[in-house]
Amino acid sequence: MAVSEIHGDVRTEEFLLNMGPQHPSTHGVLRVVIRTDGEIVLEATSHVGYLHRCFEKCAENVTYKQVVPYTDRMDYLAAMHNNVAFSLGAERLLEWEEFIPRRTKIIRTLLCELQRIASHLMSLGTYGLDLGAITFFLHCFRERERILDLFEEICGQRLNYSYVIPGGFAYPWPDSINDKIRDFCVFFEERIDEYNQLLSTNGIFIERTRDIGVVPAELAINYGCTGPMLRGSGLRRDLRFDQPYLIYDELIEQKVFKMIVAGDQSYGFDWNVGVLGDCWSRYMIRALELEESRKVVLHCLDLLEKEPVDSHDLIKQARRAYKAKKGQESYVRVENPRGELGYYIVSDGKANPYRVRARGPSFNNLSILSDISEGSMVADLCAIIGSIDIVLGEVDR
Amino acid sequence: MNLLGLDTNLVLNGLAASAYESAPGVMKLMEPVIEALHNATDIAPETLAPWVAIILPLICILILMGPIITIFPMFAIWLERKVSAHMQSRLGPMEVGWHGFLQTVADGVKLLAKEDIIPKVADKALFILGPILAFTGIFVLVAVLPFGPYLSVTDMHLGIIFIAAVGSLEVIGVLMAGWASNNKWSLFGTMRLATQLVSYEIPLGLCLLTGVLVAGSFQLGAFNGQWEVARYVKLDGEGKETNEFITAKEVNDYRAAQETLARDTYRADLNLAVSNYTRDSLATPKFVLTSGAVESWKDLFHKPVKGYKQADGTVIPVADYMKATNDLGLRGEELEFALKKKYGKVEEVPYGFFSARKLYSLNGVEKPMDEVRNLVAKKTAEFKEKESEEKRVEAVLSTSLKKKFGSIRSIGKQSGQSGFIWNWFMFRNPFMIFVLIIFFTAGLAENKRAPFDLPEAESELVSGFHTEYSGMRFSIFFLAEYIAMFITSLLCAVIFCGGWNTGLDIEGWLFVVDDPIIGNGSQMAARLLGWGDGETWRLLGYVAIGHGTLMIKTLFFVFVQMWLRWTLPRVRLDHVMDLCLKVLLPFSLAGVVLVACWELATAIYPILDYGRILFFGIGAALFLGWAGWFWTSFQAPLQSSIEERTWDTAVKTEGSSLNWLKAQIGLPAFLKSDGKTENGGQS
Repeated sequence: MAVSEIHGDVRTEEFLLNMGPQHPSTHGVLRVVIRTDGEIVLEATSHVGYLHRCFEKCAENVTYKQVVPYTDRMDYLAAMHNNVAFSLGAERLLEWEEFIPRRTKIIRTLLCELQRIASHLMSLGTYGLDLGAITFFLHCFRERERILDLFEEICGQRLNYSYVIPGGFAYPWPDSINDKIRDFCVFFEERIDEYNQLLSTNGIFIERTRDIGVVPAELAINYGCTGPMLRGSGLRRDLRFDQPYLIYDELIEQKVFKMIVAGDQSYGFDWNVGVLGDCWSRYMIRALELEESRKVVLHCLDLLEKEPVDSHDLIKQARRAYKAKKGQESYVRVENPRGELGYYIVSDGKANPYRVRARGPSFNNLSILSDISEGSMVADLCAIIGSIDIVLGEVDR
Repeated sequence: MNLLGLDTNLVLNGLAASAYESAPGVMKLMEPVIEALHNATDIAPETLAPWVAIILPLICILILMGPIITIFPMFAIWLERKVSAHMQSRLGPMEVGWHGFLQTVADGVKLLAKEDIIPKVADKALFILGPILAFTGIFVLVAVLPFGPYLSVTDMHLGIIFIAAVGSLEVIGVLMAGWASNNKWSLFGTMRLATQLVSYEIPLGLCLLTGVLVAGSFQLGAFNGQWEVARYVKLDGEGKETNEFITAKEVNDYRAAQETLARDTYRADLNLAVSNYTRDSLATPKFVLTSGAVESWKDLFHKPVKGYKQADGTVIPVADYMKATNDLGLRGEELEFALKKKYGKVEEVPYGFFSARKLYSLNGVEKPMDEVRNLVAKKTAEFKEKESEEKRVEAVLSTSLKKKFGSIRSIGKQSGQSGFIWNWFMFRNPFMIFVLIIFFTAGLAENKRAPFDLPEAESELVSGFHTEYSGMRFSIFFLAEYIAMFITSLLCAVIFCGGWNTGLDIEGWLFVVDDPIIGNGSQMAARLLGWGDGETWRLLGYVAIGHGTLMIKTLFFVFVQMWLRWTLPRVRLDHVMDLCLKVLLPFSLAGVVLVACWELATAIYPILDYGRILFFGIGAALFLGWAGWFWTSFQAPLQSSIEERTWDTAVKTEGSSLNWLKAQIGLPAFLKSDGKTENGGQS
């Protein structure tokens, strides 16, 4: 320990702390080595790789359909997005895009947004837990549980769904679920108000998060941050709007939902509580996106009811072969709750992909940690890591 | 009996005397117990008394402190679970036992059965000493706390100072624990805790000081106060009040003097009768009792006299002295005068406790105590049958008071926080209510409770200073926290919220007033119901209602602490220090100055005291306004008006908040407007 500074007669020493890999606030097996001066963090270095499972290598040895369960384990809090992203990639690679029926797209959109609500609930809840608000965490989990119940009814799984596969779904869509989802959405509207009253507008919470871990827009771009990290810095970037996939272009046209960007006064929300790009902005983006996703889910349910099952589509789907042309490649990206999730797939004409490369938002977002945590306090470090909202399964792959 | 070279009798005697002195209330409560024991076992009460006097304080300590150490934390942990579960819609704490009551027991068993780990690199001595010191620092405080009227182990005169002094012992224990753990995260927690505790003690102490200023005493018992008679008003022939007043002091002094006189003459008569009788019955040599007044065993207990020491140092044996007393045949002041004339000024020489009781002797001839006692008891009962002491005193008082003052009626006055609710120190002046808030906040920080639980912040430091502790050692920190919580709440109740007074002004006429004419409520009730003289009921009722009231108030503050814990996020360290040094400290300092000024001003100009009515009137109006606004804000949800809805849910969502509320309060199904929309959120 080197003598760092001398305040008057008091000699202070630097303190080397090992945060993680087993630490409640690192959201998994992240290890952050912190050099502190008292409570002030001088340097925070993140070490990743404790959960590395060779996903990309494994994917080379199985068929396109068999890759899907591997993608579940990446961002296990938003497994549906992973499934959808990989399936879209595989479909583009296999040139199946034109055969995908509209009803499938609607359901996929619905699932994505439902999953976004679940993932954001988890993110917000654990963020509350990081800052000591345990009740808020459990309230969020209570509603997330209901979404997981819905997913369980849809595909029999609560976490790793493997429901969306290239070409369609692993199981047929149970129409009886529509009303339950609608019930949930109605019930959930009240809950969003409750969250805002309980935590978002809490004085202590705002004091803990405003002006903490500020990410300037330029820095965010340089580090390749995406999702709420980027929009929290006031940058308008959301793949659902910028590169619409599934039926998002239609939803945008009908103005079903809006992009939430920090500092966007048109939303009718007072962003001046925080500083652009701080933890509070990022938190608030997620909190507001709950409502937007809820609207999309409701709209999708309406569309779904008008879109009956076309048996012709099913036959077309069943005839196709799981083989791409040699040398074919595709890169498809979707907006997952944490940002841009992309799959780059290369084929050599066989039944399994030649190379799969995943671009996850958590890894890029995490890389900014040491830059924004310098000079903050140890307690703030927990707040910052929580606001980045990483999933170590995806960071380490 | 000689134990370890000590005269056991002397030790017992001393302990008994100190028990009587330190907790007279409790001992008074236990007198019936001694009587009952005597009746049941036929052991002489004077043999029983010192033992009871020693064992009873221990029992009292167990009764008072035992629950605090065991039952209260268990109850509090259960309550904490229930509070949190209700707030978080969890069913977990319903599993074990009735409403999860046995969960805490199971927890206790688990903690006891767990392996007690001391890390290899830990400083073993400090590691063991840490929790003990931390716990002791908190637990010793229980000794001076009042749990109700008469219910305190010792109502120390400097109780507040004691609390401030001993309460800070905890810091050392925790510092030891954190340092000895040899863990960087523990060290972090420890340093946070030391900073926090040391800082928050300042506003806490200042808030205690404001309480002292208002109460005019450092004694916690004095904070609660009593209803007492202020003065008397004379009544005319028709029983109507006139304009003539007599001060309470005058009446009380006269009354006390008359009472003493009446009692003295009664006892002297009794004594004489008993002495003569025993002397006659025991035949020669003439026999007198060693202890003077022998009207009951209590007197034997209080006056163990061996002899009388004269000014020149010679000791007259008590027997000689009593013989002389008997021979003189005088009583009262005349007797005293005659004795003084004969012996000069004498000083009592105390006796060893038991040795004085075994035998009575005169002129070298000894008689067994039993024999003497039987004679005494027989004659005493005979004498009392004719005329009891109370009756004599009552008769003397009623005639002499009436003779001196005519018919009078008492006018009451409250001291401390007794009487109506506005006598609580919280409302005594406009500042105390803010002092209470400061005190509660600082207490919360002292207890390391959320939102000030940084020293053990589980999401930052895992567990802070007790990370390395396991099993019972860990639970000792836990117990200390819950006891500290209890103490803070109790102090809030005692210092600011009326202590054991209900705020309805019923204690005064029920239990306390000793009006010469009507007595008090409980005595009247006892007389009407035929439950004896009412003295026992007065005491028991006063203690029971006082204790219950105080516990309810305490539990309210305990609940608020839990409520805050499960609602608020954690505050950051620099914010904690800012709050303490920039907000609480200056405000509590201002509180001390303002309260002192207010007390002084109202003492000089009592009319100023009505200023607080104006103040609290405005306060109440503001509060009602705020509550109304708060209620209406509930009616209109935050976000519903931002965007028009895409799905036509107007019918379902318009009344949904109301429906949700209905679902919460459990209306019957046919009253619910739409069963589909509300699921209540309880899974």
